[in-house]
Amino acid sequence: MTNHMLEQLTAIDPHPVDADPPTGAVTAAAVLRELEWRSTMQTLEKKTTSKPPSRWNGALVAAVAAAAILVIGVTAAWLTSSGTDEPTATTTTEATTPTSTASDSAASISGSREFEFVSAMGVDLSNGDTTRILTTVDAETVFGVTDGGSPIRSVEDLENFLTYGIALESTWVRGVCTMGSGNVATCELVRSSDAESYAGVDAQVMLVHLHLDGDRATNFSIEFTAYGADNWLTRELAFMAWLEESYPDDYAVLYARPASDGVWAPDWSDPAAAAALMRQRVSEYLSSAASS
Amino acid sequence: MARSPAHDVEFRRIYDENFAAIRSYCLRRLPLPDANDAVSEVFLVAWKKRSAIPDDALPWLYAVARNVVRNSLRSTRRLQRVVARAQAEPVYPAPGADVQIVRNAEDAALMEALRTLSDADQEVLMLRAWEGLTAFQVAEVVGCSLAAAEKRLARAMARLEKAVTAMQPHTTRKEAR
Repeated sequence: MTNHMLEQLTAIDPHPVDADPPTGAVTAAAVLRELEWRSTMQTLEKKTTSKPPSRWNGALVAAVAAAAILVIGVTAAWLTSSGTDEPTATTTTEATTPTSTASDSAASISGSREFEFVSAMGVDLSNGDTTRILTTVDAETVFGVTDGGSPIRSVEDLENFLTYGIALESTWVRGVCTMGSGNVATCELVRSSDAESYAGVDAQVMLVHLHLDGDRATNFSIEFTAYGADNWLTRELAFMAWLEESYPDDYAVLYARPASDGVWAPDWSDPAAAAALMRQRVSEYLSSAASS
Repeated sequence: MARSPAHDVEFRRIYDENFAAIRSYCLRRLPLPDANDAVSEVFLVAWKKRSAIPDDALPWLYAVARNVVRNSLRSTRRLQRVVARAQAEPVYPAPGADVQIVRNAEDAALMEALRTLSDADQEVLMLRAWEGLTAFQVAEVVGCSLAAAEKRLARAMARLEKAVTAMQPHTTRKEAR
């Protein structure tokens, strides 16, 4: 390449990097925001596609899981009483758990404790009671998750999150459970509240990863997966946009945690206040929507 | 590793260091709104494939940008419109002095000549002159050997010179009127 021609060509660069960009050119901050948004959406869409959540589905699978647990119990009891070492073909647990062979029955019995615990947890929380859960965890409990983000990383986080849900008078229902490696059970837990449903979130589907050692949880992780309605995004975004425009400070509190944690979540340092704020703003949002 | 682009330290470093260069790359090749979209697309791809980004990230990002831009041009056939616009609306300010008239006429002729070349020729020349890449980096971006890149650059430059020469009588006639 001749130097003269190269210099001439370089001189006619219409958009040199060190020059001011033209009016209307996208900024680094704007692209980063969009990037944050799009990467989060892709993660959530992927999770939603792989496990479509719904309250009905959750309730249905809960019933199936309960039936499966019963069968596991009966099978285990039969195996114990008969004293046989032979594998058996009575494996009706396949639909809900991977513990589908008799040789794994010990693990499924072990898992059933965790399954039952999460069921009871749903009942307790729906009644506003956190005692059983919080006495099961301690500073040694592992709160990490293997896949997906979670804003709950300590006993305090867990307590704040549960308190926030209770303050919103949430209903908590256990869904399908599976037994994973290391005897860590994974159960769906679906939380819903009237206030949040008005803000576009019909239900919050989370996965509870739990392993009990006696009365103590060695692993108690909550992973947020997706929301419960197909149109949750449009509806929640509408509320978020309204809140951000009308009450930017409150928006910062109620959507303090990044969506990359798997869920938009409030600042739970004062969960009762956050819940009260959420209810108040949702109420105003509904009034505003009705009047317009 | 952080889960969000904004909070991933390594990704943020790459982003901050290269954003302006990628934006310029897209602006040089696409109309503004499409360029804006392309910039986002490039960094979304980069985020998804962040584990594959080499230490020298810029040529890799240019390669991604090249594909994004080509898709944009291909899908909407905007290339013709861009060329038409470039010819109809010179990007240079209105000249004031005689010297500037000559200079701008030369620049416009060069730009016009550049636009007459094939996409492949334009790309290697722009990568070399506007993105300021070495022949080795050009090879990385277009996905060929160093020798092939050098050959392409030499041929493209020869064609550009030929195109400029072919335009000079035309430019002179226009100036004389």
